[in-house]
Amino acid sequence: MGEISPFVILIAAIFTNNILLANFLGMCSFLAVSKEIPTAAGLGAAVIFVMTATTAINFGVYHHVLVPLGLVYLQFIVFIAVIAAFVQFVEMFVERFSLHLYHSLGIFLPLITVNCAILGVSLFMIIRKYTFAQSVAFGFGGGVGWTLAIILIAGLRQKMRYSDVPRPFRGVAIAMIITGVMAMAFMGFAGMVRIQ
Amino acid sequence: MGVITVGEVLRRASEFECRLMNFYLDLAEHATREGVRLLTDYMARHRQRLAEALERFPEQEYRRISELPIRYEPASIDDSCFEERELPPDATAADVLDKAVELDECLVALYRHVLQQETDPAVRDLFESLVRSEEKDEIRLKKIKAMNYF
Amino acid sequence: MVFLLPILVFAGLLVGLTVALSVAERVLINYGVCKIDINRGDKILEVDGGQTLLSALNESKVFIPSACGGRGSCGHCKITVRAGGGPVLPTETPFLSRAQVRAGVRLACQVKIREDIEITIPEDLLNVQMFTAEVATTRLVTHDIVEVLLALKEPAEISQRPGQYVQLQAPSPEGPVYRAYSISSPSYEKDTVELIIRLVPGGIGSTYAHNLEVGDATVLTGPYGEFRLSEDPDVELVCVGGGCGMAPMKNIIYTVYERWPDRKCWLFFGCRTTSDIFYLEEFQELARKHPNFRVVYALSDPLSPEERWDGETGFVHLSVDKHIEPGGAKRSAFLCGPPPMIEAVMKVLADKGFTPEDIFYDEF
Repeated sequence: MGEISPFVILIAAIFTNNILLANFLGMCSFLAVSKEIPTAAGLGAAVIFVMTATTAINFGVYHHVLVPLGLVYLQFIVFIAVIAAFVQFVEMFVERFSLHLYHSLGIFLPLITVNCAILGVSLFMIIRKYTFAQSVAFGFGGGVGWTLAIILIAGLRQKMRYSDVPRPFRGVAIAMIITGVMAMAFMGFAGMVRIQ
Repeated sequence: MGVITVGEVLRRASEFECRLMNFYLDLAEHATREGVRLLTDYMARHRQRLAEALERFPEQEYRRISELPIRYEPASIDDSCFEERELPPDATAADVLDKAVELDECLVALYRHVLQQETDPAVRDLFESLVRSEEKDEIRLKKIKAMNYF
Repeated sequence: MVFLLPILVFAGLLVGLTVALSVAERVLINYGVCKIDINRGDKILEVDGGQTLLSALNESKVFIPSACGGRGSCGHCKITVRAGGGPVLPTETPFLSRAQVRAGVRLACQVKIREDIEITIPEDLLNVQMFTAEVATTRLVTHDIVEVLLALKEPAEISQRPGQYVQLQAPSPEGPVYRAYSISSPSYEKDTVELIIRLVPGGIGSTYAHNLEVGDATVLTGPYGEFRLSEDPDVELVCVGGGCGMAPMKNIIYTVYERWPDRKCWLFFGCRTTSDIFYLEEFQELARKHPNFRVVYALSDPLSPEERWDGETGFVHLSVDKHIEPGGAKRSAFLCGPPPMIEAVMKVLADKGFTPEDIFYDEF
């Protein structure tokens, strides 16, 4: 996969291969934190940062530790450990240097640890045999795509507050349906660029 | 199930407070025990103060949020709160206080119903403070019961 | 070897991450020693950063009243933070009014110390200590009210004013909680604290107190409370208690007659039945020694036919109305009881010429 430019991967990760709307990863926090736009944007920013950084770290760990030692099958557990440790570090860093951001992100910061989109991006980068530049572009693009999706649905859910949703569909059910419709809408981007 | 304004919710809460006041006044009038009469008289005046405070809300700084829409289940507060809870004229003060706590719960349920919805932060603040004052009231009632004076 | 390598690699990676995180924590979450400035320089504490304000103050022997043990569920540990507390947290807002937030009121258990901090607390709180004590005697004074005498061990003496209260530590499934009780022993008895506690079914504090046995170890903090008895011996005192609101009265009356044997003082006490009466004989004995002390007990429930009672009947505010003369003499009243009783008594006292400044009552 050496021939695709990182920029194309970036665009693809945002629109055509949106980690959330094409792969349906990271649904849990997507549904839980998409009630208001500002919090959704805060969580999105944190996800972009963690996703980009952990993809880079995991790339190094995979290619320079696991592959030479023939321990590729350890990738899942190792990636999870790296992500968890990195989120801890980010939390400490933000608490020390930007108390304001720390308080506005609140519980969302540690929640990122269990966001499967982050793990998913690291695993895709291995399956698709990306180079380092491609991986970082893919991680960053994946984060931006996830953020775009969560902000869009937060906007829709804010509007939906006063619409008369039939009783069985209220809450998460209608959010899932909207997500499906959004995913179909994103398929309109499909011809733009294509990676795998 | 329908949509009403925040101001309307407050108006219904205030109406409920008035019904509470009348309920206690009625108890005070028919009570055979002097202690129950004193207690219900006090509680009626307390509810009246709360009802008046609620009526004043939509005016002052709450004008903006009182126009906001809110989902409302017609069954949130209604006659069922008073049904099956008729107190006999010879009820003791402890019975009255137990019942008062139950009635407070009805109001708390209404306020919580609003808090369950996704609303404007100012609405949330207002209803959280209302829940808080009702819960304080419940504690006060339980303390009065614990003092064993009436 | 085939199993050892992955285990070693994974363990090595985890150790590496843990070390990196620990180092980061050392470097990043080290707030160093922070200063707490209490009441504009009255007392300056140096504490380790990173802990909560409540625990830092407790460690430095400044005891803020708190019933839940720092979980942010009781809202008692309110203090004013003048500088350096960070923004108000969502866990605090349920307990603070808008005006309090503007004034800088915070819950001490939720404020994390990250920098030098300036706070204001009531001056009396600086005198609050934590005591360990041993139960010396317990005595049921009525069918459901127990009188517990605690002999102080460490520190051995308490300096309290009549009308003040202590917080008794009681165990609960979620860790220790504190419950406030007025001190009933007179303030000149410095090595003991006596409490009068009515059993409330299901109550954590009162159940604990009723199950105490002689020799049991207890922990309490105090004294708390702002009330100050008038030091002028010409001021006549009127104490009115109802239900189980007797403890502060007993302290006031015994303290007064130790210092001013001829001071004028009334005690009105209202309860329901003859079985709820307590301390009547002790007070009658005191009244024989001090002719200016008058005791009036009133029963509000109708007497059963076989009972004999030569005191007052009806609610206590009626007795106050009957005995207290209207007039402009210097008088001061102390009330303890449920709000409807306090309201009724205040109305009677206002008719007798008391101004609101002359009347004190326990915050309910």
